[in-house]
Amino acid sequence: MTDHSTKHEGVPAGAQQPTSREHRIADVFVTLADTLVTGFDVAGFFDDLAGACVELLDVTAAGLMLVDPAGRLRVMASSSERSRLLELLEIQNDEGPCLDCYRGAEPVRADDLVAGDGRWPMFSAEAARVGFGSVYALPMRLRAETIGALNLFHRRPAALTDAGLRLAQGLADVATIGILQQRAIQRGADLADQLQTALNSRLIIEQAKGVLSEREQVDMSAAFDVLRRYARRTGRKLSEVAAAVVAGELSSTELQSVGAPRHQSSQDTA
Amino acid sequence: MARDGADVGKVNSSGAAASLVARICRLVVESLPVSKAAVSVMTAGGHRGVVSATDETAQLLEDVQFTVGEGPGCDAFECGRAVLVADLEAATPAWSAFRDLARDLAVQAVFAFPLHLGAARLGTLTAFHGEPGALSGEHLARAVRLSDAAAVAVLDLIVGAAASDGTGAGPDGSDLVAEFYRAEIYQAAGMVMEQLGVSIEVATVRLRTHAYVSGRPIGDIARDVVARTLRLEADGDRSLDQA
Repeated sequence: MTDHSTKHEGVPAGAQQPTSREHRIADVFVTLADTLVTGFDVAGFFDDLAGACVELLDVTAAGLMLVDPAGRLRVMASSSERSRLLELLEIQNDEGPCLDCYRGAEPVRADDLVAGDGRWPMFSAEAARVGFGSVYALPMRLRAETIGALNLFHRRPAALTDAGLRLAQGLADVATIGILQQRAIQRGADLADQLQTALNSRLIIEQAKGVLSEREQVDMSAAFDVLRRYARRTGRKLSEVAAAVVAGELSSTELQSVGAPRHQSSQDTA
Repeated sequence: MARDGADVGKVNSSGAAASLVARICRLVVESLPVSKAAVSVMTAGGHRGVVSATDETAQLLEDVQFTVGEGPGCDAFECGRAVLVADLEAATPAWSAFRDLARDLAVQAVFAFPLHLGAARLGTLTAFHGEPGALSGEHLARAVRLSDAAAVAVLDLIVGAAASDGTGAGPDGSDLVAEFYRAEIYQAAGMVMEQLGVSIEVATVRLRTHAYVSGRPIGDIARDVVARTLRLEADGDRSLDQA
């Protein structure tokens, strides 16, 4: 029905315009740089970065994994629940492109998971089941160390070009700089402590999701949206908002309201 | 890399949470360039107590912090971040009582780690040394790893559970810690907090207790809570599958 219309109707909505895409890339880097300069929040930063990857690289989902002090990869941020579960499964089964990327400290591209070479039987089957055709993983490298990986998922095979992969590596490097930045702000803090703090702030976000999910009777991703929207609207850090929710300092009315947040006393009745 | 996880596992399979905490303290002293270590339980409500200390000096240095309400352990507990003091004489915070006692006891370096599970704050692990000097990156990573195990051990201590009783502890103690990486445990704790109107610490303890009593891994309990097939009640929990 629509295959003959574009010729006569100018630029169709949603078409790629190189200049506007370049502007968007610049905007995203400026925004990310901005969060680095003004009060840094590693959990919120990683969440923004996952969102930026989806937008700029036109992928279906993006996730970031960090290594913990015991050398295990852990999911730090994911743009969708689907990709988060896949990443968790990969860690649990100890098999998949993101793990290979982390262990080899090299980018891993799987252009076609269905017709793949059988490198990751369990991962490929699950990825296909949830509708991903290709996956790309970029290492987060810090000098000789690899501290994590950026994972990109697409429903189509062969979704990323070489140029796209270079931009993706740039975004992975930004994530690494984010960790370094937090380290520089908290003078004296070391990398192991830094990663630990980042991972713990992720756990506080999970606790806050649980609180809101129960209070509003919604699922976890809807609960996360409530947190994220409030943080963006009020300019507060995502992890700070999560901590306030778990401390019982943010009511639903405040979370849904537009005005400045008002604090109330803790309601611990234990 | 040291096999801390396996060592923790040995203790873990041999007995109760208290001996696991004591073993972690000994591992800190054996595998790091420090001479003493202690684990303390702390609550936001102000309850404080030393659970395990490798010697009298470590015990005294913990006690003085509880008495005056300040010190590196208190700071680590409050800010949720490691407080690393390579040289007490040159340290910025005052902590006058702590510093005076440390000087008398010939302790010059202190490294305190928070025992937190998300926003649930359970206590601290602190290492002391008689000579000034910072921990290397590798030593710090090991200390953080041991504090992870200590956080779960202290939770079990609060619950009163023997860590070897099938509540998520595998043959290797690192499984016990790995079990606590599941996002569902934290989501479920948040839900229980809201359902029962309790603090996040109490909600976490309730989840762990339910796991202990039912003999199932805490990750499974958490999944049921998140799926809303299990609801913990103020007076006896009920499975909604059976309802």
